[in-house]
Amino acid sequence: MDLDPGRVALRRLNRAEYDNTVRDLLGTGLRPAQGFAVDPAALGFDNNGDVQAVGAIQLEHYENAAQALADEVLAGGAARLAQVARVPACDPAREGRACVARLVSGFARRAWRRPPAADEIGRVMAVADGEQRRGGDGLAQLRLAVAVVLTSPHFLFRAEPDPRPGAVRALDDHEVASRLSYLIYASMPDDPLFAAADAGKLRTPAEVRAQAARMLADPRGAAFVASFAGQWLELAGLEDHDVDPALFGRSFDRALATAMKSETLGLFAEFVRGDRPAQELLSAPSMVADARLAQHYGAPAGAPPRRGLLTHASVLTATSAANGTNPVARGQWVLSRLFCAPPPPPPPDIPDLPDATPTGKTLRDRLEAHRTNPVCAACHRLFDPIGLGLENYDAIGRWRAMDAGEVIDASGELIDGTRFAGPAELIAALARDPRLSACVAEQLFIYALGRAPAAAPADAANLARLQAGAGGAAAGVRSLISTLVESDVFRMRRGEP
Amino acid sequence: MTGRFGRRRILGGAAVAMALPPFASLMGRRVYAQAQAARKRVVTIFAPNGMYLPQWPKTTGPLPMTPLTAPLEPIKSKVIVTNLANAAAEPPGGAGDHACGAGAAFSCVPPAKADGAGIRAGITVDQVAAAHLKQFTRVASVQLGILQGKQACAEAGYGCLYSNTLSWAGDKQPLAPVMNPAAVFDQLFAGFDPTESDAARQARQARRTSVLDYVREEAALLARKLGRSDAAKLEQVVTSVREIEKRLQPPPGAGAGNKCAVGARPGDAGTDYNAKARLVNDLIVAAFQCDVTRVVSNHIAPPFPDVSYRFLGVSPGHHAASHYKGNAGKEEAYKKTCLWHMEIFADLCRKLDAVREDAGTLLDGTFIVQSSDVGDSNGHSHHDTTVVVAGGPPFKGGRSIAYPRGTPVASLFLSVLQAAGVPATKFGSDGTTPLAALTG
Repeated sequence: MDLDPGRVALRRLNRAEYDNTVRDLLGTGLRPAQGFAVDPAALGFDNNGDVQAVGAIQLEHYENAAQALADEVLAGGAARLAQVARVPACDPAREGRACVARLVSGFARRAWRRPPAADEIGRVMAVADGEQRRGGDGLAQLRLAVAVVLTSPHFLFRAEPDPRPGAVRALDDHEVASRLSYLIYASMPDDPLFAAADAGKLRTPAEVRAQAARMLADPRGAAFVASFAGQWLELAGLEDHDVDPALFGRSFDRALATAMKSETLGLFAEFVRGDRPAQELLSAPSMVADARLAQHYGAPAGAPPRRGLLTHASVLTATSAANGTNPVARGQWVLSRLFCAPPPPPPPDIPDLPDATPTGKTLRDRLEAHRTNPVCAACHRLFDPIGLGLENYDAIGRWRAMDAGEVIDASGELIDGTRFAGPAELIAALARDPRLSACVAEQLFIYALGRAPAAAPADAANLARLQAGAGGAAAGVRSLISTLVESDVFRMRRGEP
Repeated sequence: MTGRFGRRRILGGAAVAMALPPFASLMGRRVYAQAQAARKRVVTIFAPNGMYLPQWPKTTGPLPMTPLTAPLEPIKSKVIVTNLANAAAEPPGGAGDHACGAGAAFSCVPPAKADGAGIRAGITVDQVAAAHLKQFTRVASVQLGILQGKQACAEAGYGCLYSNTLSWAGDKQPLAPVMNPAAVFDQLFAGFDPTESDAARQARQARRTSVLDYVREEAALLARKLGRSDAAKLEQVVTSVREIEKRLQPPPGAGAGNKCAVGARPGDAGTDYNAKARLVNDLIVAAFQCDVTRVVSNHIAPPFPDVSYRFLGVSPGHHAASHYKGNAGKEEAYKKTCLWHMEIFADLCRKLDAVREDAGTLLDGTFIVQSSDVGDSNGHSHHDTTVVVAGGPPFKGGRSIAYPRGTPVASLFLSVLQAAGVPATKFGSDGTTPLAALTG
């Protein structure tokens, strides 16, 4: 360890993680977190410990959910709990307290994702004993103990103790297992990962890397793609994206939005699976499996083949307004999402773009007029050409040659002087920008660690090392993940001074 | 869905009158009686992106009826409309008016220009009220939300959180809104099954107490092993447990319940946010009538980026429409959305005013403040934030008031706190004197 691994703030389970965890822990069909308060997000992701607070309301939600889950699992009797806890069954009516303690201990072990300490189990058993004193039978004691385990801070939070302030320490096996499983499954460790942690195998980078590869190939690894890529590309709310029915009629609905999102997440999943360079996300040929989406795309004359994220209807729709494209928003999306280089915000009280109808001018004319103001031009030169170069794709991502009766002029010049005649050349130029690969690494860093790489002094170096270690500009997406999880920032932590 | 949780412990379905166990604090019968004698409540409502100023009253006098204030007609004698300054909402450097404005809207403290670890704002007026009024009720406060915004809404360096949060219990403790009214209903009215026997209720409370005792102890023990800011999270848990536990105390003279009408458990209004907002208002009325809580905040929608108000038949998103200068279509859309915000405000007032309490109505003991992130939506000004207040004495309603430019909205919040019986002498960065004119 030569670089400071930095601190990861205490994280509590977000709504998706809570529901996934109780699903994997209990096999329940209940999804209690759907009624919880909204997850606060920071730096674009909803798993950021720094902004997660727990008020009384939230705690009561947890408590109610725990009671309901405990009722459900104990409806199957002590035998069901034994199954869930992965311990041999016993009968609390016959075997008494020893049986209760064994089941509780086994259950806490899985729920807390680590072996519980004897005093920790002692405190849960004290609650069960109280139930016995009130006249509760073995099942009632178990029911209450399960509720306690599920309301425990050890369940709700992923604590990584800092015994020595300011000191760096290696995470223990179970802490690494939790980091891995919540990164890739957005849930608790599965049995093989748990077994590896129990066996003390997660202290070597190679084993951590191997587990990550195994988990990414598991069907549950889809959670990583949906959560990470979905949030990174700002597609999380695409099903609720607003499209003007007066202009687009039945061309857009939730089913199509789902198909659009699947195309993009599918591409990202393919990049993970095949360890393809992130840089190619802008040039990968589109392979549309969904009939509805294929029909949506059609095969219009003069349209170049769809290649890369910027021809995906998901991205093109998410960056559009309800009633039309928004080249400014598209350009800004490319800069901030794909290149991690968000343009500065506009100065206050800037004039709005005039309406299209009275002047008869095209959007391009109007944006050009806007750029005659040097204050505006300073930033709009950065993103307007990108957005205008994508104007052949309408607000729901369909190809079009004309807009408002005029042939679309999608030519332009990027800030570095590169000229392009239309979207295909534009995208080809953007695909060469090395910031794309670096940006994927940065977003992954934020998602996995919950902090901006600028937050800790050594993080710029940590991030550079991540990228270099994964193969530089040609780094494959899975290599980025593997390099991250085997690195010090992921396997170690610095205690808070 | 949440509906499956604890259903057997709560009442769903048709509206019913039921006996609620009266709540009393540990403070004894005298305070309890006093609390029941004059219940005071506080509601804060965040309506994003300002108000349509051309139809907003600007002079001092009887409340003028414009298309925008028209929804207030039935309860106008209990409403004051004004503009006030929120200096903390002004982002230094000039960009980020919506996020900074939202972060300061009910705290009047400048939020930190940061995301993630650096986020920081101030305690909001509803939470100051809750810290005092929670002694009288089972639930300290409730945070509700109507339209959920995008999670990628950071603006000019201000984290997305500011735009999506109304209530802050402390400078590092944002309280996220619950968007699902059914879940709030379950929570507010849980445990009030009139068919449950006394013995069963006592046993259930004993179990809850033992779970909460455990959580409090365990959180405190775990906090000791963690760094400073992580430990602070666990200390929030300890505080929250204390809050919940206090409500579990058996009230003096338990059994002599007060009657109140718990409405129907709200259904899923889907994307009909107009219907949802009205269901949420019903829920607030029921919570007040049953005296389950005395503090509610309602986050109607985040200001930025665009939230669709298509359920009103308007096409541009709310933020886009709010920059309407020189664009007739956007102006029409903005008028409609602002009018809807006023209608939902008026809907709550009317519903509260329809329920008798003591010698007056629920509205007389409720102080409702609706405010926003900006004043003039075109230019993002903060000296003229549009504020509407409803409630009974000591406020003297039926008026619009033009305050000298720069009069802080924090002063109005201070007035609200004092009207609600909260012993506050200052609020936010600049609320040092209450607004005398509010009381005539």
